Amino acid sequence: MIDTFRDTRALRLTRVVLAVLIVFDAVTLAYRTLRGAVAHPLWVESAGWSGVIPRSPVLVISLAVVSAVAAILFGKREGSLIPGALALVSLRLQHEGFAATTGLFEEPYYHVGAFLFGWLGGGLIARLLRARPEVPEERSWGERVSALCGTAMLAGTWMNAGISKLRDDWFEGAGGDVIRLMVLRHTVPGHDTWREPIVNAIASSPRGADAMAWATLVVELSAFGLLLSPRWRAATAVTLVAFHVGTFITAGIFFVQAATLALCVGLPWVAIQDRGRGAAGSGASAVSWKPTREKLARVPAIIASSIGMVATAVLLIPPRSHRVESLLTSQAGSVSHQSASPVLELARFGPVEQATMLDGWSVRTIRAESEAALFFLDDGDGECVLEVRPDSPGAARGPF
Amino acid sequence: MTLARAEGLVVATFLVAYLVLGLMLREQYPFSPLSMFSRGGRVTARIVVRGPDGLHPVEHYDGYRCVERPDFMTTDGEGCVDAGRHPELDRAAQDYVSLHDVRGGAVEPVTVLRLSHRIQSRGGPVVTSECPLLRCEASVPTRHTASLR
Repeated sequence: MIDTFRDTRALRLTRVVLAVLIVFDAVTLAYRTLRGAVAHPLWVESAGWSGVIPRSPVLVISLAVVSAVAAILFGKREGSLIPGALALVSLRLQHEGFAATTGLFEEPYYHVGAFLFGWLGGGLIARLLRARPEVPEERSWGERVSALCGTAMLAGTWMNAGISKLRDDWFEGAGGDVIRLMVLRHTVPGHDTWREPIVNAIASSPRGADAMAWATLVVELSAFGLLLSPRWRAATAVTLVAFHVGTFITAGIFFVQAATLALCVGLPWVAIQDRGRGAAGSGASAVSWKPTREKLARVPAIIASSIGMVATAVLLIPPRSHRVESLLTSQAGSVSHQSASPVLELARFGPVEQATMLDGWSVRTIRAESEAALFFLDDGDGECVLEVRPDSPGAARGPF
Repeated sequence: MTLARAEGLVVATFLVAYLVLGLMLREQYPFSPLSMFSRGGRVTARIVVRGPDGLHPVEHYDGYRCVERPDFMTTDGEGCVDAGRHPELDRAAQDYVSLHDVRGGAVEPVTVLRLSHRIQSRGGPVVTSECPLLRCEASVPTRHTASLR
C-alpha cells in the first residue's frame, strides 16, 4: 500500500527539511513576538500566563534558541525523538507567546508542528514494536514509520481546512463569495498594483470565484493523496503547491512551510537526483525491508492506547476562566454593549463551537482563540463580536 | 496482521487523529481546524488610509496625529451601517495608529477609513464604500521623502 520513504536518503532529506523549517519557525516566531510585544503592549498585559513570554525578550530569545538547537540535533541524527519532542514543546511555548501579542494563532505555523508531532508519534510506536521479531531490524524502519505518520498528520492539516469550509459557509455554496471578499480584504486599491487586476477579475466574476472555491475544496480534501502511490503523491504535492501559489497571488498570503513540506514528501527527490547523475538506481541506499506476512497482533492495541493517552491528556487540561469583556455589535451603527452583564453567560468556554443561546444571540463560531478570544454571534439578522478576556479582579468569574 | 497492513493502519490512525483532534480541540498547537477562510458572511472591511495620492495600508505612514482617539472596533464610520469587521486587522490598525505618533518631519492630511466590501445576495455584485473614521495628520514615510530628494 505505502511505498513512500523506502530510501534512507529520502528519509534523511525529509528529516533535514523538517529541521530547517523548525528553525525557520523558531526564528520568525521570536522576531514577530518581539515586534508584537512593542506594538501591542495592551494585549500582552491582558494575556494570562502566555503574556509572560513576550514580556521578557530574554525568554523569547531563549525559547527560540532551544527550538533551533533541538531542531539541529533532531536533523543530524536518525531516531532523535527526545530533541524532536523538546523542539515541539518549545515551539508550542513560542506559539503561545506570539499569540499573546496578536490575539490569535497563526495558521501557517501549524503544518510544521503537525508533521513533527506525527513524526515523533510514529517513532514512538516503532520503538514500542521494536522488540517484536516480525519487525525489520533496520533502524531506518522506525524512521520510515515516523515519516509516514508525519505525512499523515501533515495531510490532515489541509483536510481539516477543507472540512472546516464544508462545516461553515462553503457548504451552502457561498465559498465563491467568501473568496471574493477575502481577496478584496487583502488588497488596497492602488497600492497592491500587480495583484489588483487579478483581484478585480475574481471579485467581478462570481462563477469564476465559485469554481475556485470548489477547486480549493477538492485540493484540500484530497491531500490524503500524499500517502498513496508515487504518482498520486507527486500530483497531490504539485496541486497543493499550486493552490498555495494561487493564494499568494490573490491574497498575498503564502504558506511557505506547508508548500515546502508538500514538495519534500510528494516529489521523488532521490529518483530525480539519481536520474540527474545518470545512475541506474539507488540500490546502495535502498533499505532492505519489504512488507512481510508476519503477524503483528499487538499493533492495534498499541495504537489505540497511544492515541487514547494523548487524547486523554489533552482533554484533561482544565478550562481557563474568562470573563465577558464587551459585546460589540456591527448592527445598526455603533452600539456597544458594555460587559459584565450577568445575562451574558457562556455555558462553556472551550475550544469547541457553541450553540448556546446568549441573551438572544447564538454563538456561532470562535474565530480567534487565545488568551483573548473573539466569538462571532448571530441573532438571525446580523452578526456581532463578543470579546472574552482572561478573568481579572472584579470581573464576573468563569469558567462559563 | 501483516507489516504492510500494520503500517497502513498506523498511518490512517494518525491521519484520523489529526482530523478529530484538530476539529475538537480547535487551536491547540499543533492541532487546528485551520478554519482561516471557512466563513466570510456578506460583508468585510479593512482599515486603510486615504492620503493625497490615494489609498494606503495604515502601516504606510510612520506616525499619526489625530484629533480623536482611534476606536476602530466599535465604530462603523461616517454614513455607514454594518460596514463589516475584521476584528484582528481592525485591532492591529487601531494599535498602530494609537502607538505611532508624529515625530517631526513632513506631515500630510489623511483620512483613516473603513473600506467596506459588501455582497448583498449570493453571487451578486460587490459594493465597495468608504466609511471615514478619523481625520489625522500623518508622517510622510521616510522612504518616500528620501525618494523625493
